[in-house]
Amino acid sequence: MTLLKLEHVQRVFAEGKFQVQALRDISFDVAAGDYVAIMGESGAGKTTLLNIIATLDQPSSGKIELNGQDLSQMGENQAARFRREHLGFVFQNFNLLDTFNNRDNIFLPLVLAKTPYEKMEQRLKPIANQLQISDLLDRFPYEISGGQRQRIAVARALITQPELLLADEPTGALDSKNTNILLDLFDVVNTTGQTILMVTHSALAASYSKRTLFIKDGVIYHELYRGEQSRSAYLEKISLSLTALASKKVGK
Amino acid sequence: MIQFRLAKADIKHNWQQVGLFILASSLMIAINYIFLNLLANDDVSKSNYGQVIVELLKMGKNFTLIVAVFFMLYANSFLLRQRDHELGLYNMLGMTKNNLRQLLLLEKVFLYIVSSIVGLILGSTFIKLAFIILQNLLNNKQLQEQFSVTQLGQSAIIFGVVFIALYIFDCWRLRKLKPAALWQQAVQAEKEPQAKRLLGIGGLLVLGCGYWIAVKTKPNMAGASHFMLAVILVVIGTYAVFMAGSILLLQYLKQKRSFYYQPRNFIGISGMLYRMKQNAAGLATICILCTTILVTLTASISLVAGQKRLISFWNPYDLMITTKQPLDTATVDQLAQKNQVTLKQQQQLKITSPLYGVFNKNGHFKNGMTADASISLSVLTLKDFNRIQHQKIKLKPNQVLIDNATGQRFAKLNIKNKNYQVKGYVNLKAGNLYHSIFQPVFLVTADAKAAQQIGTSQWLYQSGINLSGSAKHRRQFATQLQQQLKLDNGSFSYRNEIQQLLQGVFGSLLFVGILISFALAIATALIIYYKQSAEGLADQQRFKTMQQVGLSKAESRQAIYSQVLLVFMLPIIGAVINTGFALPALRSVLKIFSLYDGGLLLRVCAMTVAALLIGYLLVYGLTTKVYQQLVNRGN
Repeated sequence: MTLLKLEHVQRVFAEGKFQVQALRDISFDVAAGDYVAIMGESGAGKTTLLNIIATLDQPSSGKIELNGQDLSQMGENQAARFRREHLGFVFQNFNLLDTFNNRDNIFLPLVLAKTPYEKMEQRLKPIANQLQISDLLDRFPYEISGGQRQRIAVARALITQPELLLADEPTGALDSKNTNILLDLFDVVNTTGQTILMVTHSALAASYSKRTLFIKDGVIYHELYRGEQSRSAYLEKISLSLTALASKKVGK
Repeated sequence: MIQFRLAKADIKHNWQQVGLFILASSLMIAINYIFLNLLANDDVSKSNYGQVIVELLKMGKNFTLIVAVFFMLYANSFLLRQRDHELGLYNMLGMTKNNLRQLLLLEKVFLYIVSSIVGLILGSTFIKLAFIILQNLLNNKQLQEQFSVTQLGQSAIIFGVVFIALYIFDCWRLRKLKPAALWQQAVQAEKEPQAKRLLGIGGLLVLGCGYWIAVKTKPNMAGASHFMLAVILVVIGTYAVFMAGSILLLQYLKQKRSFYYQPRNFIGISGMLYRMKQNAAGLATICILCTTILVTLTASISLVAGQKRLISFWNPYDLMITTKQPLDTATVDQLAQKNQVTLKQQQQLKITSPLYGVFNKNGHFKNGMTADASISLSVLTLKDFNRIQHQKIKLKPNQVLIDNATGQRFAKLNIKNKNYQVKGYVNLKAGNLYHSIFQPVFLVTADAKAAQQIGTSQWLYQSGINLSGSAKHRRQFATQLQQQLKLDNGSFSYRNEIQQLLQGVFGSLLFVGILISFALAIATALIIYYKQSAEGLADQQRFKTMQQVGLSKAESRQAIYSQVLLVFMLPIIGAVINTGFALPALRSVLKIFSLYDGGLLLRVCAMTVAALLIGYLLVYGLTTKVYQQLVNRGN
């Protein structure tokens, strides 16, 4: 079943007299339960694309649908509600709030959706066990390590039971050990049926996905499926594609 | 010179905040100039009771100057703190500390020049308004403005010194600047404050003591020192309660899950708790400033409003004369004729020389000039009373009539171990003997023997005379009569003279009160503004993240309003409570001035609170907008 569908999405930024085409023409589908990595160099349009899928930005033209709902025509309030009901976010710098303890950070989207306390606790329990953060809940983000913080952030993303988990460079601020822990975690979460869309620079991170899209200059330049191959073989292909991507020019 | 260009760019870039600093310091300079100009004015110092007015003006000048210095230090450090990053960057890019000092000097010179030019223009404009107000308050149209460059210069020099102090402060802070700090995270997370139960409880106790003393302040000689003690306790208590109490309250609210886990409360309470450590002192300061404004204005407006009543109470007749021998009517008549003044109604009372002391609730009179003495008690005979009032009342030896300005009601009295039954209340129009701070109480007894059992054996003669004739003649007559009778101002008073005295004292009190309140209001408004903009900056990232996880713009707006409202309603609520407890003390102070009308005080206080509240909400609304802009700018 198709969960996310993008058709000829275009995003143009007007800066004074100049127009910058961040996204030229992007079309792709994500099926429910899929795990997609999006790769590309800085300025390729990854962040713009993620913002559009996250309803934080709107396409200049083209169509984007999540679960049959048109995201390109949403008002600001509607988009905010949509985000907290259907999407989960994991950021490179965690974006946890120091004003809340970890538990309240995880509860944040549920509180915004006016969920009763008992229900929030109910939802938190299995996630906390799975992410091994039960001991951290009463502490504050500034009291725990980066890897622990990222797990709290994942818990915050998962607690709404989102249809789509959006991750923006989730391993960017982590050391290799914590990177592996996080990617294993994403793997586990994905096997339970969670759809994940991850933007990343890291070939290693992308090698955990089922499918990798390469973006350059605002278009999808290349696409790889993992299929039945081993992760190391997949990683090698991703690395090769990246090298090719960096050396060639996109003709238009 | 690069510093010049940088200074220009910096000021332009931070114009909103720098501009407000200039505006506020210009107003402070303007206020200072108004005081200096008035102090140098001959019309003021040579007017009736000019010395009193000058003393009050001096007090006001010094007080507002202290407010201005503290406020400018605060605002300056706020502005500089925001620029640590920028100055660190310049330093890293190769500007030496010396270059930075030059940069800051240029900026300070610019701020000083603009502030003093604007301030002195405002001052020389407002001085006209000040004179109109003063003419009316003092009821003296002869007061004319005198322009002089000297005072402009003085004001400029005083604030030049203040700006030099600010610059020294800047340089001192610059020493601590380390460019390496740039690499570190911009905002160090601050730990959630621990609830200081002890400080909170201690603060409440101190505050309670202050309130108790204020409420118990009696209109007697110890009253002023009691009131001062109460003020100090309330200030300390307010700070402690804000610092510890606010955190305790927030933590309590946080524990109430059904309340805390509401979107608006969730964001507001956590945000406030996080920053309460810095906020509490600021909020307490705002609270104290507002309290000061309320108390100052309430007291001085009440005095002016009660002035008429006070005059008719002190001087029910144009002339009030207290003598130890019966009034020499021959001299009075002779002088009256000489000065073309006709004597109208007259009243002569023979009373015992006053006893000082205090009545307790049961009517027991404690005799003696103790610290709690608040009453002067004199006695006259029934014969005199019936003659004057044209009545035929009869009294038994143990019965008395009472004229009690304090409003205390007794059924029985016990004086010098003898019991008396109060038969009725009367109004003698006897004025306030010697114009003392004591409240006059007069008793009427059956005969002279009974009178002297209560009072002293010394008799006094209290005479009231109404006059008609031209103002000039009446004045001449009064002056000559006082000289002829060799009486001091306590024993001889002329209504017009009293009126001028009170208008001078109360009018200038109110005038100084208004200017002081104005200075405090400017300081308060700007502190609120700076706090709001600092918080807006701090909250940019927070709201950005929350909007990413699904907080809509409308919801952030709501959350911001409720958070800001909560923060800024606390001090004004505190101020109103403080003022409420100050009212009994103020009432006692007013009683010292023979103003016994509590209703008037309440009305004046209510109006002052309403006016302050309107101004406060206005500032709140404007600053919240700034906060909002800052939060949204981040997204």
